[in-house]
Amino acid sequence: MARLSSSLALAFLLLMALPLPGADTPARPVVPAFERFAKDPIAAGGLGLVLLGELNCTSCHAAEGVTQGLLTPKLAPVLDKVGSRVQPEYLQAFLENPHEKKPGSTMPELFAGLSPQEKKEAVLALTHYLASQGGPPVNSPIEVKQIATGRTLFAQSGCLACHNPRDAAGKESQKIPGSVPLGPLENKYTFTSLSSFLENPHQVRPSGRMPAVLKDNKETKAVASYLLQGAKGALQAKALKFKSFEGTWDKLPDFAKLKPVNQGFSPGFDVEAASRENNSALRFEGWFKLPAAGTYTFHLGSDDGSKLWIDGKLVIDNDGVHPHQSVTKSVELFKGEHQVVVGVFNGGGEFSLNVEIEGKRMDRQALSGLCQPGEKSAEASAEPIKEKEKAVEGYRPDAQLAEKGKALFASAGCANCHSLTNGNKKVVGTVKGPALLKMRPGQGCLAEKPLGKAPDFSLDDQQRKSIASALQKLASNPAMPSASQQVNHTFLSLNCYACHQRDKVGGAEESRLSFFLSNQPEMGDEGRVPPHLTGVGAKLNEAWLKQVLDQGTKARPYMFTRMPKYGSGNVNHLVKGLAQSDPLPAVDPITFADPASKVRSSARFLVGSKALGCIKCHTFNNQKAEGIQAMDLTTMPQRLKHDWFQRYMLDPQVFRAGTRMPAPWPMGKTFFNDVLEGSTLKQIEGIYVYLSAGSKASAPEGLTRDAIPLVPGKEPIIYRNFIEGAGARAIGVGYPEKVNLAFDANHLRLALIWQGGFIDAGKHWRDRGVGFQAPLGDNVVSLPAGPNLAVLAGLKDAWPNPVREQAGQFLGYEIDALGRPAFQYRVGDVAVNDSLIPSTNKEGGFTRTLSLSCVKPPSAFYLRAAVGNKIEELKDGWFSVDGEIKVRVQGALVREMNGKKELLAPVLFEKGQAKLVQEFSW
Amino acid sequence: MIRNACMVGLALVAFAGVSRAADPLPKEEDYYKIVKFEFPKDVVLEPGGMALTPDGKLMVSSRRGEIWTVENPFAADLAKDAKWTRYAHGLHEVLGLALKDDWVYATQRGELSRLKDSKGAGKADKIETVNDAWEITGDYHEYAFGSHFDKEGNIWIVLCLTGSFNSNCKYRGWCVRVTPEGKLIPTCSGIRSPGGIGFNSAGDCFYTDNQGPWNGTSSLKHLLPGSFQGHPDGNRWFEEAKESSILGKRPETPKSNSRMMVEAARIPQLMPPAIYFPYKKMGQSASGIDFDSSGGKFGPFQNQLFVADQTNSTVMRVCLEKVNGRYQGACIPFRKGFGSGNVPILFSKSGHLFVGGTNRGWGSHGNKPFALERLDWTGKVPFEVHEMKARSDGFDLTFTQTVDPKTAADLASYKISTYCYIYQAAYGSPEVDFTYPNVVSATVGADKKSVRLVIDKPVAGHIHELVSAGVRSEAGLPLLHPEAYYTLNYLPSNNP
Repeated sequence: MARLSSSLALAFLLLMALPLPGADTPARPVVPAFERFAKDPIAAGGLGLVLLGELNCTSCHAAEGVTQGLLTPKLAPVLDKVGSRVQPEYLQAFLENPHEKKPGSTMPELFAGLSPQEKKEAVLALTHYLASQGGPPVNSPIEVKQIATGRTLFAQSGCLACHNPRDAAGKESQKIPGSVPLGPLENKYTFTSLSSFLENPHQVRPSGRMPAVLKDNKETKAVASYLLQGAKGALQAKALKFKSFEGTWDKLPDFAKLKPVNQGFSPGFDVEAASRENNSALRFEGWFKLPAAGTYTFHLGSDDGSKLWIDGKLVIDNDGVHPHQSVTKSVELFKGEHQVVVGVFNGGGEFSLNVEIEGKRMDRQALSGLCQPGEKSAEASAEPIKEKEKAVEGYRPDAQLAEKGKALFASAGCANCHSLTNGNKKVVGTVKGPALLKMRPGQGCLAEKPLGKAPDFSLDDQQRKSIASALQKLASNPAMPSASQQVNHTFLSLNCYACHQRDKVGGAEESRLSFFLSNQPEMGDEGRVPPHLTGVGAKLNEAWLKQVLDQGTKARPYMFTRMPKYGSGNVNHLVKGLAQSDPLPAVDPITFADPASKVRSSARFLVGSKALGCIKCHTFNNQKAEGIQAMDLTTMPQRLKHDWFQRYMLDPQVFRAGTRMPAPWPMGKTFFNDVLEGSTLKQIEGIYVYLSAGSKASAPEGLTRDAIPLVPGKEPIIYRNFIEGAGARAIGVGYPEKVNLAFDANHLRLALIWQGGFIDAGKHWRDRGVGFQAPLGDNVVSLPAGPNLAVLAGLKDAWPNPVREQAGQFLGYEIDALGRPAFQYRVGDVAVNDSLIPSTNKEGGFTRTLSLSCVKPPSAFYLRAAVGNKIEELKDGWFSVDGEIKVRVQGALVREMNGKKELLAPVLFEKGQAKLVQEFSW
Repeated sequence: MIRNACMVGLALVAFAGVSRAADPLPKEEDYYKIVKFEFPKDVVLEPGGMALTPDGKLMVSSRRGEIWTVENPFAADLAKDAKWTRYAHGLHEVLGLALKDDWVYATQRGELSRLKDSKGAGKADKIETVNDAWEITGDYHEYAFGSHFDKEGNIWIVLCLTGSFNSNCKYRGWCVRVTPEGKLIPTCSGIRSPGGIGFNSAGDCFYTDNQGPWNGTSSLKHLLPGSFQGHPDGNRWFEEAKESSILGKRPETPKSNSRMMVEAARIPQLMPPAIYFPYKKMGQSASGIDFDSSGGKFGPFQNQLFVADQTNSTVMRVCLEKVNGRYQGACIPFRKGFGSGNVPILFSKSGHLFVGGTNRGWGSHGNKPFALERLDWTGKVPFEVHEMKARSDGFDLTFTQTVDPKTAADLASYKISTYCYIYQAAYGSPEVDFTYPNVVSATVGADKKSVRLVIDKPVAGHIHELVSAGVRSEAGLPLLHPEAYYTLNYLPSNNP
């Protein structure tokens, strides 16, 4: 026992030392609807009733008859097996002073009337009792790799509709009034227990105030990892700090000048930490300890470029755009701590990074294995981790104290609110307050300073007044509220208004509006903010509404916020209530002259690209639309009531002001007089009938994206567009001879050559034309990055990789009589005419003739004809490059540079003119 | 009363020429007829830019990178007489064409180029880069719309933001000019997602921008050199652009959730839109711009600006005036029913309006995937509000025909509401800050072609939506388009 209380005391001290989040959250219980609407005259009326429910007053103060029907109590957490979920140190600290440990909690303080010593004893007994329920909590390390995913889920799925936003480290970053407090999560939960709570919050919190947002345990683990990354113990898995950046570079950027898009911890030098694969960069930083002084060898491999610094000094430069290539360097290092920084970037395609160390008495191994995120933090964390382990490991509930706690649990009032079943027996609360309607303002728990045994909810003045007026109203024997009043009451209790507006009440708060995001930003607020629910009872089919409320949904593919799961017991009544509140006049029945099959095919025509083009914006049976990905058409009849659909289609703006949905029948008139008798109503009905087949509805015209292969006929085809491997200013040329090239007009280089099919223009010539298109054919050869021609002072100098402005200027092209372009550009003062034609020799391929002119030619000007790991000279002046391609050029020489072979050809000017012929065969 | 009704009926018969008892009112097509071009077989031509050669050929560039020459574009029977020749191919989404000497200037995504047919073969064999000093990342939204030549021989180019949201590389979100020498001059910042660029009759350059961040709805904006057009992301290139001598200090970043005229009062470089096109009511995606340079061959609207809308497949009409030294004015519906999503438009001196359309990636009311059409005036003058001008206490309206003095003086003939948009970083804006001024007096001018409206009271910074549904022409016709939307950025201080 002595052991227990001392370790508890230590943990308690640790808790005290932590800066408590929510210090400026009010101590009053935070009931979101009250916080938000107390000042709003329209909504404030029912708030006293909401408070009576949210504080679960009827668990001690009996309500009868109508009064009972008017309240929807929020049951306190079910405490079955609470010891397996919540850490005993937290239980103790929280019971000691709930309003201080978790400001805004609706949990009252029960022992305000006891002396400090009595209170301490009572709390200790209760802690032992609760901790013995299934304890101790199981723990396993957080999943560091999932922290970033968890952050995204927390920020985007809807958590922020009720809770405060958090930063990359999982700490609250902003206090927004009315946020439901989470308390010090890292002290309360273990990774395992938080993750399983998030998986099924209703098991512990049955009243649905905390809905289930996350869809599986992969997601709940990610969010738990994110929220608990600051916990002691979690630190071990965080070997490195990383920052990730987005942008387009052809060499490693200066990170000091950039703003990271994300940062956090990573167990290794792992490119998965990047926010995206293409046009992305990462900076890792960490500390490693060397056991002895000596020579250490570092290996840095990456695709594209990377650099490695030790103690602030650049050790390895593996920069530039290239496939995975490794560079090795050795340095002398002293014994002890060293800082390592690694930067890596990726333009497009593969993204890789590999950082290794080896020494005399150290096998070659991943450097991350030796790393800690910070010199000091690694030291500092060692101590508490040990203590913590000891605390949990050493925890042994004291049976006698637990028995005392059990009695207290029933007699102090805990069991009135908290359900706790122990061995099939539910603990029954023995506290009985006065009946609800007998409660008097200013007395008992409604007193400004509750005395004696009265629980202290820390109510503020306005809350007490609001409850008093609700009690007064209840005493006047009110009538059962109308369906819409009941709906409003539920919306307040469950905080539906945090996301949805209904009848001009609620909707996303101004202060949280920016948290609602969409992958279709151009849909505007409609794409990111959950829909208003005015008239929703007239809109949605009951079965669908029931499913949405009970199970949640994500019917809007573009919206990140999800409709969470509230549990049928908490929301089922809304299905009828909404239907009753939102009547819609019935639509006259519609009959067709055409047979059913004709109706469907006519409607299919209307939905397709030749008519209304609904599929341009709406997905259809999970197939993407051309533009924004609006809601799936095949789910419409499942979701929408028939009569509502009829009316909505006639004038969408009436139902959703500002929607981007155009009126397909402007002023009720059809554009298609020969379809379904030219009747607007029949056309709408036909579409409803057609879409009612759901996933079996046959796809309308224009849905599938066809390839548009460009096939050269007698003359070459030129294609300037975004070509993968040749940049955003690429000029593709496909020749009738079935060889093709892509010239990069941004970097003045021949970028790609390939054989067979030229290019599929479908990507760029259908829909909006998103992305880079790779060649269509075979044997695609990527030629070296960087300029083809450059001044080189000496053969020891690395091939330059100047920025675009210095590289020269693209000047255009001239097309010869056979339709073949010759590219023209300037490199420094040298004018270049670069003519590429399919070779007529037996090797095939391309023959490139470079005609150069310059008034004052540079003394050492070179063509870099090839770069490879292996360049071998063959017969007749040909060179084989990595066995992939053969290159021939007069005067060629092979040199080694940065671990690669380069084939260079000097350009020799005569009277300001030079000519060089380069041949490719592959 | 009965007599009046008869007169109206008679007038209509006389007026419209076709008398159908069930549908007596004249329609847009009675005044302006859409004539369709037919394309050569298998040709997909999604127009991006247009220009007319001195010898009367129409050149059309396409999103698929081609340029076509159309001979006889004014022919009555286009299917029979229009002759198509492909002038160039393989270019990168050409959204601007201009002609000078023997050269065809084409604004591609990545550069301004000029092309020449040096062998007289009907197709270009020289393709020269005139300027490529702006950057592209490979994002499809990084469009470049180019103008014709201005009086000094410059081409103006508006560069869409990356993804239409951010300025991820140099001069995204800027208007730049390329001089006759091929030099690039960064000219205005603040552009978001343009749909077209063109000049008014005075030679001032305008572009259309679309609803989105910092743009409550689509609008027509004046590209006054040195001005800031409202979207702050591109201002990050001020340092790079500073050699452009017309630029002053980098404008302050506007406050989000404000109002345009509140910010314009604080940020001197901020240019409020000359015309807002209220969302849905006028259109959803404002695009091509040109003015009627025909000197009356297109009807009564000489020198007025016309602006296309891609989503609604319409052409709208705009009358501008300068108040407080800046352009503002009214937009009025003009013609709907084009075949596809209108992008470029081009007036000929002969009074024809060429309209090109594409709805690839962005749907349109016109359901053809692409179209090229010509709008011809039938010679009949529609009854329309000709101009709407702001006064300190209301508006002056002029009409294309003499009005019926009784209905024109009736206060109940007019309804006015005013509103504005939230100027904000979030996407678009609802109409907000509504007021409903009363019409205090409506005085018909001596020429019976104008009405002086005094209202209580005009609101500076608001769009004034005027519906003159009750006004009749002398012949008893209602206005072909009773709605007009005046962007009252500034209230004129004195009445003339």
